[in-house]
Amino acid sequence: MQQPSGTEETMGEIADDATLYDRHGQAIFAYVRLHTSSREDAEDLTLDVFTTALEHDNLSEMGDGEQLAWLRRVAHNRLIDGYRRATRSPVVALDTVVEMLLEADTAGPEQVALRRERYAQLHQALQTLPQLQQRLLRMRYGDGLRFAEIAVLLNKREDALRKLLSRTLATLRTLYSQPVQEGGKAC
Amino acid sequence: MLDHDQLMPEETQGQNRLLMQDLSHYYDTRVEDNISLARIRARLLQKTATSLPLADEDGRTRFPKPSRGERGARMKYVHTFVRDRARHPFLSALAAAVLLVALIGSFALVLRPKQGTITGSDSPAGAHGWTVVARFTGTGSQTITGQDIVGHRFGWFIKCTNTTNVTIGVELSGQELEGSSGKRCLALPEELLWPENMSSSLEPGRAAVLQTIKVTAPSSTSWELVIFKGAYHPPLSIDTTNWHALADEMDGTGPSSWSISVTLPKTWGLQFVCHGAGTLKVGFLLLPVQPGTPDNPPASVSCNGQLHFESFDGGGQDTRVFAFDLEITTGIENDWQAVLVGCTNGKPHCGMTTTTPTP
Repeated sequence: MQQPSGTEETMGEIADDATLYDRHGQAIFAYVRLHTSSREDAEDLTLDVFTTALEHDNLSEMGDGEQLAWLRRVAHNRLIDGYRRATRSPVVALDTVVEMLLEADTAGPEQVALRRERYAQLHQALQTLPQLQQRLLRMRYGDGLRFAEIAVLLNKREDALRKLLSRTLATLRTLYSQPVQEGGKAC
Repeated sequence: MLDHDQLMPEETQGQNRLLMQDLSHYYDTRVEDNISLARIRARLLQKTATSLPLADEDGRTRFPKPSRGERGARMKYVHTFVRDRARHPFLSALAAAVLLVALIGSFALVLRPKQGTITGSDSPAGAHGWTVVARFTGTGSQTITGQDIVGHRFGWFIKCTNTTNVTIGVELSGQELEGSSGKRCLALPEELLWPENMSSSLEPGRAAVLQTIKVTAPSSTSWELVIFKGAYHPPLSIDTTNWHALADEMDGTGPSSWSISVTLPKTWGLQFVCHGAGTLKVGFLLLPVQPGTPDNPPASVSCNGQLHFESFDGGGQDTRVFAFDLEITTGIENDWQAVLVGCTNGKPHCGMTTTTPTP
């Protein structure tokens, strides 16, 4: 039995919507996560962004970069419009961070101790970085995004971000060539 | 997770191996993120699926998207027009001529950017602290000069009749703003009108003059550019006998975090203010952890423009703090300012007798 043509079309549209989400969902979710207090809020808002996208036919005519820029802008404005929660990125105690990092560690006690010191140093060093550099590191190494995607999300030029990451890594690398200071201080 | 074709040389160097490994570990939330992404995907598909299929009066199924419905209506109109044109060639030619005149007329009008007017009613709903100062429409590339709009914070919003790449260059006090070029012109929903902030490179406290705006766009692209001016809050002033600022003022819009190196005296404080709506919460972390500092951040304060002050007695000697991390949690539209202050008289509690003094 032949299916009505309208149903065929809509099934294709569902596939398009899923493709759009599969292409940009991770990047938009990463962007929203930077600005929301909880994972649940970020999920709701990301869903809201892609639901808005459903209502705009012209997205399919855009290139990848344009689509991401459009979605990022919608997410940005949705964040502004819908910001209701009071907590975001609460300051986490250093001990908690180190425990989190070591949670799944199966190494011996000595290795764990060394790694604990290293993570403490890294945490301290990361906290001293400007917000932009912290976000760049998170999106690059936490979310695994490409420079082109990060550039759109952070509203910066791609080449500028590459230079910034290069400088940031050079700064952080100095940590790994110096012995641990008393009290966990890094120079 | 990273695309290896995109890796920078620094990311593949052997000497950075350990750092890359630790960074990936430090920021790794892949498992939780994948669960979240799968959950959103399922909800998105469910949302799409539950809104179809709907039967039209003629029994055909239709996807209930407003824009698609409108597109369908437009297509019907075009089909009708084409059929009629075949039957009445003279009327068709006349209509085409009228249409051509109308198009040329509107093109000439659109080519001249119109000067903006300052009208409160033009402000987008809910855009706290932003006022429309100029509005321009144009087609193709344009250079708008002689504006001389004085302000401390500016924002912009552009929309186009079609989705095409458009770049905007803005000169403030003779300097082109970093990051103001290469913007995309996007067909955004009207209700999402909100300015992009372009004041980040301005010196705090110094007014700038918006003089020139350059829009680069294909000749076929029509656009509308709205320029906003943001509310200005003078830097916090610390001018008392017993208190002095320990570092430059920290300020921003919406949730933010700052990190500074500072030497804290025995008694120090944080003066802060929030402008907007809702509340602001201030949290901080001292590294290495200092004895005597509170475990919990102060309670939320209202974003009503009122100055707040919290003081702390560390005890002992002045201490070099590796990092002072300030965490601001507030609505994304709220402006806030904070400054670290230190007591100079050496007295316990700086000689204060009230619990919430203002320096």
